[in-house]
Amino acid sequence: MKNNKILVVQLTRIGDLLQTAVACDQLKKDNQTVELHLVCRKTFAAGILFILKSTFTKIHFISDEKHQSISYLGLTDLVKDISQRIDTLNNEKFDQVVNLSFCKTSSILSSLVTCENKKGLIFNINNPITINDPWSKYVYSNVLGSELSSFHLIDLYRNILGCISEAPTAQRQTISSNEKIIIVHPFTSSTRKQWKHSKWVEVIYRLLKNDSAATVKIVGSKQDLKNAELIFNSPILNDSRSRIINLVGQASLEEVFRNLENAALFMGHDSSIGHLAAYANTPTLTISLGSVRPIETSPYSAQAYIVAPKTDCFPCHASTACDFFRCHNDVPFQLITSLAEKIMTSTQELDHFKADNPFISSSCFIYKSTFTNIGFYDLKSLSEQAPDRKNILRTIFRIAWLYMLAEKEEIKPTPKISQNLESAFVNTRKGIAFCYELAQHGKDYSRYIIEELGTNNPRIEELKVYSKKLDEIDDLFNTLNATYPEIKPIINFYLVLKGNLQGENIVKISESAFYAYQDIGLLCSISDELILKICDGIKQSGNRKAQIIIDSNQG
Amino acid sequence: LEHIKEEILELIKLKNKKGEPHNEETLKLLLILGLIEEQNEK
Repeated sequence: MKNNKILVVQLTRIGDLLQTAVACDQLKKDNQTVELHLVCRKTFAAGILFILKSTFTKIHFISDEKHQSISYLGLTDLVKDISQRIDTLNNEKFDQVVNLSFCKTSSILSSLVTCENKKGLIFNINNPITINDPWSKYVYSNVLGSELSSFHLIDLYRNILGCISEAPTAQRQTISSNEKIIIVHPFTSSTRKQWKHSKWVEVIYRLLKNDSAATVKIVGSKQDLKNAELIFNSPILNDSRSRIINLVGQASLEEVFRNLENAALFMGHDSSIGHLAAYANTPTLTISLGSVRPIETSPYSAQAYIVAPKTDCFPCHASTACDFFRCHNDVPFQLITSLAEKIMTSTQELDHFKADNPFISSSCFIYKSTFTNIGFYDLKSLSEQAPDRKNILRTIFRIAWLYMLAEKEEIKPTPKISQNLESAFVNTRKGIAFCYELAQHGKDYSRYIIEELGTNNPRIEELKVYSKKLDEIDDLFNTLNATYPEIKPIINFYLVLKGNLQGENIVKISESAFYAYQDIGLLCSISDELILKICDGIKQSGNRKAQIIIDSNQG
Repeated sequence: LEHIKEEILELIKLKNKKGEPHNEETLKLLLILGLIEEQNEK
């Protein structure tokens, strides 16, 4: 059987490795004869080998302790070492290589492994970015370059890997113990993604004060010791310290996992421990801050609760300078405590949450994870608050992507929007109309090239003119990207499609370009139709459509 | 560490000067460079 021996490349952090393992587990369920190998960095994999070993037949390290003391090795030895590791991979004779890392290093590694069938980012001699499969093109254009990405990373991994069945939604067995253990991981890899210790002190204080059966276990790595001490030794916690266990820097990831299996709740920010909790089927409460995109990286389980600030600049980009962290202040600790208590005391999963004090929840979105009718992870609002513009656009694009990339349709209620928001969408529709128009011109000029090349004597001058027109269209797409940032997902996708046109000759490349423009046109049509549908409750759609056409003609 | 990085960059530059595309050897150098740089970031 083809594609039975697959090498999965994942060079990034523990959280990404865990998410990769979940997606690969599903592939194994779909195809029980598949043999999965993983190539990763030992630094990240070492702590979770107990999980990775159950998923992968073999785990290969592209770097290990030797590379941590890299300065002691000469370059010749380093090259020899890497060559041996690559030879080992090549001796396996893989049917397929799937790169799920999306970094340059992983793309170079993928290109060094001999295999005909490759997915994900591949470093190419002629074109540094080569991506062949559509879902990887989506990841490269949307996950890395837009704040409107619509899918969870595990769903993206599942689709890149070619999983066919729906995502697993394991339900948790009831915990027998009367003791309520809450695992708290108040740390992340970046200060922009985590609260200051004082807010966590308040949360722990209230949880323990309000529930005498509760015990809090703080977990984290050795790097978090200093911050953990600040929390643990806070005078506010003097009376409840006997019910706080500080495991930071002491418990291995496997021990943390065993603790999570018996916990009533996991609380923390976006980090690898959240993914570990989801893997253990423990209910999670995640506070998403800074550059975190909740739909992409929240714990992948049916019992994940997420609080995200409504702050305008959230989610930000990891490289954007910020000293103030307004989004941190927009999530009140009272809301987190109140929600945590509700999750733990409720016999059923929450499908609604209303804080006793409405002021504490007005600055946040409160979500619960859910798996849709087609088995994709999604976030459902637990409050009655209307979705904001970003969330509506994310939903619109999600429907469009699913139709285009997977020919699937998700059953979703039409979001209700306010009149203010409707007027904001007029500009978005303008951008979409321009984008659609450009795609149509692109289709036309690609077709002219194909037709001209099909004649007995193709006219070089004509071909030059058409080719120049296509260059102009590319420039205009770039202008649109700057003018209408909300349609960035479509334009970024176009840029990736154009950068990866397939074909050995000009006819084939032009055909490939034609289909790229067609895809963009389709995305525009679906997105525009959905916006119209959403706005339908307020005005007659026909009048608006006419308005858009007039506006775009004026432009 | 910086010394090794410089050495790698020099070797790759030399190759590029000759206008040759990347081959297995330079790709391995690029891979080592990437691994070192990412190691530093962590």
